[in-house]
Amino acid sequence: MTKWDKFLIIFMILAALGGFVLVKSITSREGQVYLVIEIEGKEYKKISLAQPVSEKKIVIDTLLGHNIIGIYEDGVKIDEADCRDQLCVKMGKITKANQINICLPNRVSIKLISDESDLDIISY
Amino acid sequence: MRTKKLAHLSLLTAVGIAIHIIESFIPLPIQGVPGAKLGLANIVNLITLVVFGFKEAIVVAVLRCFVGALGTGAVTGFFFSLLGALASTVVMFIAYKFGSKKFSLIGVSIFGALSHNIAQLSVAGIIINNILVFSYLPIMTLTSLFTGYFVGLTANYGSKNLQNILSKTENKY
Repeated sequence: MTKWDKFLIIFMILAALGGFVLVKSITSREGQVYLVIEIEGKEYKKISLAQPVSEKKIVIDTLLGHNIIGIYEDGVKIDEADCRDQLCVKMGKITKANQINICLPNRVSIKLISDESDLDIISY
Repeated sequence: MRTKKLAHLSLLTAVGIAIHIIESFIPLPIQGVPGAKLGLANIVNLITLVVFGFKEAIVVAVLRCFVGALGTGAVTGFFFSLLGALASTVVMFIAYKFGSKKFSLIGVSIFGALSHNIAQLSVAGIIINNILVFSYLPIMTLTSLFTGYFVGLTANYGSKNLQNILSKTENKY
Protein backbone atom coordinates (compact mmCIF):
# COMPACT_ATOMS: atom_id res chain seq x y z
CA MET A 1 0.00 0.00 0.00
CA THR A 2 1.74 3.13 -1.20
CA LYS A 3 1.11 6.77 -0.45
CA TRP A 4 -0.78 7.11 -3.73
CA ASP A 5 -3.13 4.28 -2.81
CA LYS A 6 -4.10 6.10 0.35
CA PHE A 7 -4.65 9.30 -1.63
CA LEU A 8 -6.85 7.38 -4.06
CA ILE A 9 -8.93 5.80 -1.28
CA ILE A 10 -9.44 9.11 0.52
CA PHE A 11 -10.31 10.83 -2.74
CA MET A 12 -12.84 8.13 -3.61
CA ILE A 13 -14.50 8.36 -0.18
CA LEU A 14 -14.80 12.13 -0.56
CA ALA A 15 -16.14 11.76 -4.10
CA ALA A 16 -18.72 9.24 -2.91
CA LEU A 17 -19.85 11.54 -0.12
CA GLY A 18 -20.08 14.40 -2.61
CA GLY A 19 -22.09 12.11 -4.85
CA PHE A 20 -24.53 11.41 -2.02
CA VAL A 21 -25.11 15.13 -1.56
CA LEU A 22 -25.53 15.61 -5.31
CA VAL A 23 -28.05 12.76 -5.56
CA LYS A 24 -29.98 14.18 -2.65
CA SER A 25 -30.12 17.60 -4.31
CA ILE A 26 -31.33 16.10 -7.59
CA THR A 27 -34.10 13.95 -6.17
CA SER A 28 -35.53 16.34 -3.58
CA ARG A 29 -36.55 19.37 -5.53
CA GLU A 30 -39.93 19.96 -3.99
CA GLY A 31 -40.86 23.27 -5.57
CA GLN A 32 -41.64 22.26 -9.13
CA VAL A 33 -42.97 18.72 -8.90
CA TYR A 34 -46.13 17.75 -10.78
CA LEU A 35 -48.37 14.76 -10.37
CA VAL A 36 -49.54 13.32 -13.67
CA ILE A 37 -52.36 10.79 -13.77
CA GLU A 38 -52.69 8.82 -16.97
CA ILE A 39 -55.51 6.53 -18.04
CA GLU A 40 -54.77 4.16 -20.89
CA GLY A 41 -51.68 6.18 -21.76
CA LYS A 42 -53.57 9.45 -22.09
CA GLU A 43 -53.05 12.28 -19.67
CA TYR A 44 -56.07 12.61 -17.41
CA LYS A 45 -54.97 15.15 -14.87
CA LYS A 46 -51.89 17.17 -14.08
CA ILE A 47 -51.63 18.67 -10.62
CA SER A 48 -48.87 20.88 -9.30
CA LEU A 49 -47.69 19.80 -5.90
CA ALA A 50 -45.88 23.06 -5.21
CA GLN A 51 -48.69 24.75 -3.33
CA PRO A 52 -51.01 22.89 -0.94
CA VAL A 53 -53.46 20.90 -3.02
CA SER A 54 -57.14 21.32 -2.22
CA GLU A 55 -58.37 17.88 -3.18
CA LYS A 56 -56.60 15.24 -1.17
CA LYS A 57 -58.34 12.28 -2.77
CA ILE A 58 -58.95 11.71 -6.45
CA VAL A 59 -61.50 9.08 -7.41
CA ILE A 60 -61.13 7.50 -10.81
CA ASP A 61 -63.93 5.33 -12.15
CA THR A 62 -63.54 3.85 -15.58
CA LEU A 63 -65.00 0.85 -17.31
CA LEU A 64 -61.96 -1.10 -16.27
CA GLY A 65 -62.09 -0.39 -12.60
CA HIS A 66 -62.03 1.90 -9.64
CA ASN A 67 -59.06 3.66 -8.08
CA ILE A 68 -58.61 6.22 -5.37
CA ILE A 69 -55.44 8.24 -5.44
CA GLY A 70 -54.41 10.10 -2.31
CA ILE A 71 -52.16 13.12 -2.16
CA TYR A 72 -50.23 13.62 1.05
CA GLU A 73 -47.70 16.08 2.37
CA ASP A 74 -44.72 13.94 1.45
CA GLY A 75 -45.92 12.00 -1.55
CA VAL A 76 -48.62 10.41 -3.62
CA LYS A 77 -50.02 6.92 -3.37
CA ILE A 78 -52.80 4.77 -4.72
CA ASP A 79 -55.08 4.31 -1.73
CA GLU A 80 -57.52 1.90 -3.21
CA ALA A 81 -57.86 -0.27 -6.26
CA ASP A 82 -60.35 -2.98 -7.09
CA CYS A 83 -57.87 -5.11 -8.97
CA ARG A 84 -56.84 -8.58 -7.93
CA ASP A 85 -53.16 -8.31 -7.10
CA GLN A 86 -53.18 -4.91 -5.33
CA LEU A 87 -49.56 -4.37 -6.39
CA CYS A 88 -50.01 -0.66 -6.87
CA VAL A 89 -51.43 -0.26 -3.38
CA LYS A 90 -48.63 -2.30 -1.88
CA MET A 91 -46.01 -0.20 -3.62
CA GLY A 92 -46.78 2.66 -1.29
CA LYS A 93 -45.94 6.30 -1.65
CA ILE A 94 -43.94 7.79 -4.44
CA THR A 95 -42.16 10.82 -3.19
CA LYS A 96 -39.58 11.95 -5.72
CA ALA A 97 -39.59 13.23 -9.26
CA ASN A 98 -39.41 10.61 -12.02
CA GLN A 99 -40.94 7.88 -9.90
CA ILE A 100 -43.93 6.04 -11.28
CA ASN A 101 -46.63 3.73 -9.99
CA ILE A 102 -48.87 1.79 -12.32
CA CYS A 103 -52.10 -0.10 -11.74
CA LEU A 104 -51.86 -2.28 -14.79
CA PRO A 105 -55.27 -4.07 -14.65
CA ASN A 106 -57.07 -0.72 -14.56
CA ARG A 107 -54.64 0.99 -16.97
CA VAL A 108 -54.07 3.80 -14.49
CA SER A 109 -50.63 5.21 -13.85
CA ILE A 110 -49.47 8.01 -11.59
CA LYS A 111 -46.09 9.61 -11.91
CA LEU A 112 -44.24 12.54 -10.52
CA ILE A 113 -42.38 14.74 -12.95
CA SER A 114 -40.38 17.84 -12.30
CA ASP A 115 -40.46 21.05 -14.27
CA GLU A 116 -37.07 20.50 -15.76
CA SER A 117 -36.68 17.70 -18.24
CA ASP A 118 -34.47 14.66 -17.74
CA LEU A 119 -31.82 16.21 -19.94
CA ASP A 120 -31.03 18.79 -17.31
CA ILE A 121 -30.34 16.04 -14.86
CA ILE A 122 -27.96 14.33 -17.26
CA SER A 123 -25.83 17.45 -17.52
CA TYR A 124 -24.74 16.97 -13.92
CA MET B 1 5.59 -23.18 -22.22
CA ARG B 2 2.52 -23.06 -24.44
CA THR B 3 0.85 -26.05 -22.84
CA LYS B 4 1.76 -24.92 -19.35
CA LYS B 5 0.35 -21.48 -20.05
CA LEU B 6 -2.81 -23.07 -21.38
CA ALA B 7 -3.15 -25.15 -18.24
CA HIS B 8 -2.57 -22.17 -15.97
CA LEU B 9 -5.01 -19.98 -17.85
CA SER B 10 -7.71 -22.64 -17.71
CA LEU B 11 -7.09 -23.09 -13.99
CA LEU B 12 -7.43 -19.34 -13.47
CA THR B 13 -10.61 -19.31 -15.53
CA ALA B 14 -12.03 -22.17 -13.47
CA VAL B 15 -11.26 -20.33 -10.23
CA GLY B 16 -12.88 -17.22 -11.69
CA ILE B 17 -16.04 -19.13 -12.61
CA ALA B 18 -16.25 -20.58 -9.11
CA ILE B 19 -15.91 -17.14 -7.52
CA HIS B 20 -18.39 -15.70 -10.03
CA ILE B 21 -21.05 -18.29 -9.17
CA ILE B 22 -20.52 -18.13 -5.40
CA GLU B 23 -20.55 -14.36 -5.58
CA SER B 24 -23.96 -14.38 -7.24
CA PHE B 25 -25.39 -15.86 -4.04
CA ILE B 26 -24.41 -12.75 -2.10
CA PRO B 27 -27.25 -10.23 -2.23
CA LEU B 28 -26.47 -6.54 -2.48
CA PRO B 29 -28.81 -4.09 -0.79
CA ILE B 30 -29.16 -2.07 -3.98
CA GLN B 31 -32.56 -2.11 -5.65
CA GLY B 32 -33.01 -1.43 -9.32
CA VAL B 33 -29.69 -2.73 -10.57
CA PRO B 34 -30.28 -6.40 -11.42
CA GLY B 35 -27.12 -8.42 -11.48
CA ALA B 36 -25.04 -5.95 -9.53
CA LYS B 37 -22.32 -7.86 -7.75
CA LEU B 38 -19.38 -7.25 -5.48
CA GLY B 39 -16.80 -7.93 -8.18
CA LEU B 40 -14.63 -10.40 -6.28
CA ALA B 41 -14.02 -12.31 -9.51
CA ASN B 42 -11.77 -9.41 -10.44
CA ILE B 43 -9.08 -11.20 -8.38
CA VAL B 44 -8.61 -13.62 -11.26
CA ASN B 45 -8.55 -10.89 -13.89
CA LEU B 46 -5.96 -8.92 -11.95
CA ILE B 47 -3.71 -11.93 -11.34
CA THR B 48 -3.87 -12.91 -15.01
CA LEU B 49 -3.15 -9.34 -16.03
CA VAL B 50 -0.08 -9.14 -13.81
CA VAL B 51 1.35 -12.59 -14.48
CA PHE B 52 0.46 -13.21 -18.12
CA GLY B 53 -0.59 -9.97 -19.77
CA PHE B 54 -3.43 -7.99 -21.27
CA LYS B 55 -4.59 -10.33 -24.02
CA GLU B 56 -4.76 -13.31 -21.69
CA ALA B 57 -6.66 -11.27 -19.10
CA ILE B 58 -9.30 -10.32 -21.68
CA VAL B 59 -9.66 -13.96 -22.74
CA VAL B 60 -10.04 -15.12 -19.14
CA ALA B 61 -12.57 -12.36 -18.39
CA VAL B 62 -14.77 -13.16 -21.40
CA LEU B 63 -14.65 -16.92 -20.78
CA ARG B 64 -15.35 -16.43 -17.10
CA CYS B 65 -18.41 -14.26 -17.77
CA PHE B 66 -19.74 -16.58 -20.46
CA VAL B 67 -19.49 -19.80 -18.45
CA GLY B 68 -20.45 -17.97 -15.27
CA ALA B 69 -23.66 -16.77 -16.91
CA LEU B 70 -24.43 -20.36 -17.90
CA GLY B 71 -23.76 -21.39 -14.31
CA THR B 72 -25.89 -18.75 -12.64
CA GLY B 73 -28.57 -18.70 -15.32
CA ALA B 74 -28.75 -14.92 -15.29
CA VAL B 75 -29.15 -13.72 -18.85
CA THR B 76 -29.35 -10.01 -18.10
CA GLY B 77 -26.59 -10.45 -15.57
CA PHE B 78 -24.42 -11.70 -18.42
CA PHE B 79 -24.29 -8.31 -20.12
CA PHE B 80 -23.63 -6.59 -16.83
CA SER B 81 -20.76 -8.82 -15.86
CA LEU B 82 -19.28 -9.05 -19.36
CA LEU B 83 -19.15 -5.31 -19.90
CA GLY B 84 -18.06 -4.72 -16.32
CA ALA B 85 -15.26 -7.25 -16.61
CA LEU B 86 -14.08 -5.90 -19.98
CA ALA B 87 -14.11 -2.29 -18.77
CA SER B 88 -12.34 -3.10 -15.54
CA THR B 89 -9.69 -5.20 -17.31
CA VAL B 90 -8.94 -2.41 -19.78
CA VAL B 91 -8.78 0.23 -17.04
CA MET B 92 -6.67 -1.98 -14.78
CA PHE B 93 -4.28 -2.63 -17.66
CA ILE B 94 -3.86 1.11 -18.24
CA ALA B 95 -3.47 1.79 -14.52
CA TYR B 96 -0.99 -1.07 -14.12
CA LYS B 97 1.09 -0.15 -17.13
CA PHE B 98 1.37 3.57 -16.54
CA GLY B 99 0.89 3.82 -12.80
CA SER B 100 2.51 0.73 -11.29
CA LYS B 101 5.35 2.88 -9.91
CA LYS B 102 2.89 4.99 -7.96
CA PHE B 103 0.04 2.61 -7.22
CA SER B 104 0.31 -0.86 -5.76
CA LEU B 105 -2.08 -3.56 -6.91
CA ILE B 106 -4.60 -2.24 -4.38
CA GLY B 107 -4.84 1.07 -6.22
CA VAL B 108 -5.01 -0.70 -9.58
CA SER B 109 -7.86 -2.89 -8.41
CA ILE B 110 -9.76 0.08 -6.99
CA PHE B 111 -9.56 1.69 -10.43
CA GLY B 112 -10.84 -1.56 -11.88
CA ALA B 113 -13.71 -1.78 -9.40
CA LEU B 114 -14.75 1.80 -10.11
CA SER B 115 -14.84 1.25 -13.86
CA HIS B 116 -16.68 -2.03 -13.26
CA ASN B 117 -19.40 -0.09 -11.43
CA ILE B 118 -19.63 2.60 -14.07
CA ALA B 119 -19.92 0.02 -16.83
CA GLN B 120 -22.58 -1.91 -14.92
CA LEU B 121 -24.62 1.22 -14.28
CA SER B 122 -24.31 2.30 -17.91
CA VAL B 123 -25.72 -1.05 -19.02
CA ALA B 124 -28.48 -0.78 -16.42
CA GLY B 125 -29.28 2.74 -17.59
CA ILE B 126 -29.53 1.59 -21.20
CA ILE B 127 -31.65 -1.46 -20.35
CA ILE B 128 -34.22 0.27 -18.16
CA ASN B 129 -33.85 3.49 -20.16
CA ASN B 130 -33.37 5.76 -17.20
CA ILE B 131 -30.25 7.78 -16.49
CA LEU B 132 -31.20 8.06 -12.82
CA VAL B 133 -29.63 4.68 -12.02
CA PHE B 134 -26.41 6.62 -11.69
CA SER B 135 -27.72 7.82 -8.35
CA TYR B 136 -26.57 4.41 -7.09
CA LEU B 137 -22.97 5.25 -8.00
CA PRO B 138 -21.95 6.74 -4.61
CA ILE B 139 -23.03 3.75 -2.56
CA MET B 140 -21.54 1.36 -5.10
CA THR B 141 -18.30 3.33 -4.99
CA LEU B 142 -18.10 2.89 -1.23
CA THR B 143 -18.67 -0.87 -1.45
CA SER B 144 -16.23 -1.13 -4.33
CA LEU B 145 -13.56 0.53 -2.17
CA PHE B 146 -13.75 -2.36 0.28
CA THR B 147 -13.85 -5.10 -2.33
CA GLY B 148 -11.20 -3.32 -4.38
CA TYR B 149 -8.92 -3.25 -1.36
CA PHE B 150 -9.31 -6.96 -0.68
CA VAL B 151 -9.06 -7.86 -4.35
CA GLY B 152 -5.81 -5.91 -4.50
CA LEU B 153 -4.40 -7.64 -1.42
CA THR B 154 -5.36 -11.09 -2.68
CA ALA B 155 -3.96 -10.42 -6.13
CA ASN B 156 -0.76 -9.16 -4.56
CA TYR B 157 -0.07 -12.42 -2.73
CA GLY B 158 -1.53 -14.62 -5.44
CA SER B 159 0.45 -13.14 -8.31
CA LYS B 160 3.71 -13.26 -6.30
CA ASN B 161 3.29 -16.95 -5.59
CA LEU B 162 2.17 -17.75 -9.11
CA GLN B 163 5.20 -16.00 -10.55
CA ASN B 164 7.41 -17.96 -8.17
CA ILE B 165 5.87 -21.23 -9.27
CA LEU B 166 6.18 -20.32 -12.94
CA SER B 167 9.85 -19.32 -12.67
CA LYS B 168 10.75 -22.42 -10.64
CA THR B 169 9.19 -24.88 -13.03
CA GLU B 170 10.74 -23.07 -15.96
CA ASN B 171 14.22 -23.58 -14.55
CA LYS B 172 13.60 -27.26 -14.00
CA TYR B 173 12.95 -28.10 -17.62
